Amino acid sequence: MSTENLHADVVIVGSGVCGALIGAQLAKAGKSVLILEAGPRVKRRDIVETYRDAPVKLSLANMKLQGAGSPFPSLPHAPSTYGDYLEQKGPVKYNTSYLRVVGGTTWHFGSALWRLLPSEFKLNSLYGRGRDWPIGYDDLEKYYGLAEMELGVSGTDDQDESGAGGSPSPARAAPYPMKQVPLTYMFRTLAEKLSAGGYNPVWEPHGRATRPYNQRPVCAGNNNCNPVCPIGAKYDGSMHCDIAENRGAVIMPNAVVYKLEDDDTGRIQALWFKRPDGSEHKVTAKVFVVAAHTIETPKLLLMSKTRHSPNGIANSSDMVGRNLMDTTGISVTMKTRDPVWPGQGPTELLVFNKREGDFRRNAAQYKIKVRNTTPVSQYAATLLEQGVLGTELDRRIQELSAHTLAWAVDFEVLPDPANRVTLSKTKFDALGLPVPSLYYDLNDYWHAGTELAMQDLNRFSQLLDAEITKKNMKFENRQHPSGTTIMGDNPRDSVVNRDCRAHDHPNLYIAGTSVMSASTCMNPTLTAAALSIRIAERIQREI
Amino acid sequence: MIPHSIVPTALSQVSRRRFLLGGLAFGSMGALASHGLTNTPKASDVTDFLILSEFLTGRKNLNFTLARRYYLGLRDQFPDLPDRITNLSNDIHASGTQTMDDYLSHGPTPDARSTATTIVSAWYLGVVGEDPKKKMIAYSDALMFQAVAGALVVPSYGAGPLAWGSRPEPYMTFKEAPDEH
Repeated sequence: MSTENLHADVVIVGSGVCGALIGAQLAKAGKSVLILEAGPRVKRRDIVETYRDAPVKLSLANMKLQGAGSPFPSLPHAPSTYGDYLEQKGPVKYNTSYLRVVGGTTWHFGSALWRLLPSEFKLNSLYGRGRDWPIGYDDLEKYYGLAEMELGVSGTDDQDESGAGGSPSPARAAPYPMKQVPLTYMFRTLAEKLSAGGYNPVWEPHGRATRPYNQRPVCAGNNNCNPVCPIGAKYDGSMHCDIAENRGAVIMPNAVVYKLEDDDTGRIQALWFKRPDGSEHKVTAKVFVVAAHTIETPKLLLMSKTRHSPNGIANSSDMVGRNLMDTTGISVTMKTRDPVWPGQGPTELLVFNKREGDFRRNAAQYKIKVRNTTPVSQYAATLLEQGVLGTELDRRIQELSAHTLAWAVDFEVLPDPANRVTLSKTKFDALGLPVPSLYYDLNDYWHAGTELAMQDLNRFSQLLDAEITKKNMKFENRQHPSGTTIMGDNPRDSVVNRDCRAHDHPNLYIAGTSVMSASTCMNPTLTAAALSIRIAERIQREI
Repeated sequence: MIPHSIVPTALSQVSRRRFLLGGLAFGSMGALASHGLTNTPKASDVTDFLILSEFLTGRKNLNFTLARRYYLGLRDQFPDLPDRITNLSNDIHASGTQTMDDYLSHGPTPDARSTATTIVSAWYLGVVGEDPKKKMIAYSDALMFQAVAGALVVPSYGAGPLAWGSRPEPYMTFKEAPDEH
């Protein structure tokens, strides 16, 4: 044991968007803030160079290659999820990929930043499924607005984001901080043709700057949002790490937190972290925030078995790690008669949402998106494997690139206590800490959603004069994890209360998508960011 | 915008050799096998590889430095590369064809076709070898991107602030015959 003792007003576990937002806000308020990050610091230029130099380019558009490589580091004390770090125990693989580096997983996110709709806080009372949130849209509207300012969101005002083509929704107190990016030829063409068939195109709000924003330049269409924006036009958590540090917060990389300690009153007294050399260090604080990602947060709580909390910290309900959700999806590839040219501009923008309606009693809501990732290398490799040479090789690379549409659908997943994160009993990292063990399955509600989405996609193929060439119905993980420290009013079936404070511990907050009571089919980052700003406000009032 | 090559182009040595040998210059290929495997290939080996590569890819301005790196990378992974190149060169020569498309129509031997595919794959993908020995040689200079240049950028080399929206028009067009410009 080390004799080093660290103390701060607030100690935050995890330097991703949520931890960094809270740290930045509390540092601005004059609080002493320590942020502990399991992974190392990374520099954008190094990640970009590693990406360009890699023989295998990892992309969300090529799910087959997940696990083949990532330009982000994998270190023994903070192994990359792109390898075999996660233990899979369930019928459906939960192969999510998060980053253990300063700045967190938003380094490689597509940057979709959606608000939830009012109805999405009330799934149970409206449709008899899943759970209601203990809070509603009105409770979060102000914080959504603040989060959009902090993260710098570009969006289309006055559209119905539910996808129903009605009046603008959800209601906004202020317009988006930045205007939408220009539409590409493909987006315009698809929107026009599918609108003619009665579908309502929705333009995704996202974190790419369309005017110089804080330190960020304007999006230059690098088409490389995942795995890394080469110029920092796209938001990522490292930007709030920089802000937090400039305001006096301390970020300590390569500090793997492995235990929280409580006392007989329920207050968290200290946490412990290990350095890569195995040395152990203690930190005391007035308030503790765990913002370590939906998989790592429950892992830490479950590892923290104490005299007063024998099932792990915050776990008197036995709900820590349970209700693991995602927006698990399917994908469909089409070949169009006319060239459409995906791959210009940013990697995503156009979606068709089906978020509201009575169908939700029986089937998952969903979002259909068209991938706009330059697919040239995949097609070239495939053609060469087929032995295509000569002029025909160039012609077919061009033809496949111009005429192939990659659709992907994201579905709502209901909270099920059986889907869960536990601690592996057999597999440990270099520090001797158990790796997360995941059990995941999907029910009839999800499958019913996929049938509805396939009807839409078949109709799309008619409207676009396109032929469906490939379907993948095999549970594609969408990297939108939620639910493992679920929010609720009842301490017997939830982990945190409506303020994201642990029911069991008055000075412990949990930040991140892990608190979400419902997954919805939408990207969860903005909701987690809004909740984080709200957490910081609560803490600021308390200390 | 197409990223500028970071590798200097067209050594005068190459053009001189091309001039001296004229047309499809495979005259010295037969000697390749006897050169032995050294880490530093003779410039003539690389030049011959470059000229062969230009025939196989239908390109006129392949880069000498890249040719050297592809040649070394491929020879490292396929020790019999010089022999395979000799056989491919002989097959092309015997076919009497002047372009890759004509050669493909003529019908290469299976071995010659396999070698041609290996070399073309390297130039197009910018990568040599198979897992786990895959090696990156070039990224933005990989020839696959030329097929869509003008319409799509090489990922991470964007066209500039909000510089998209018009109908994509690739430089390379195809009618009856390749119309590259």
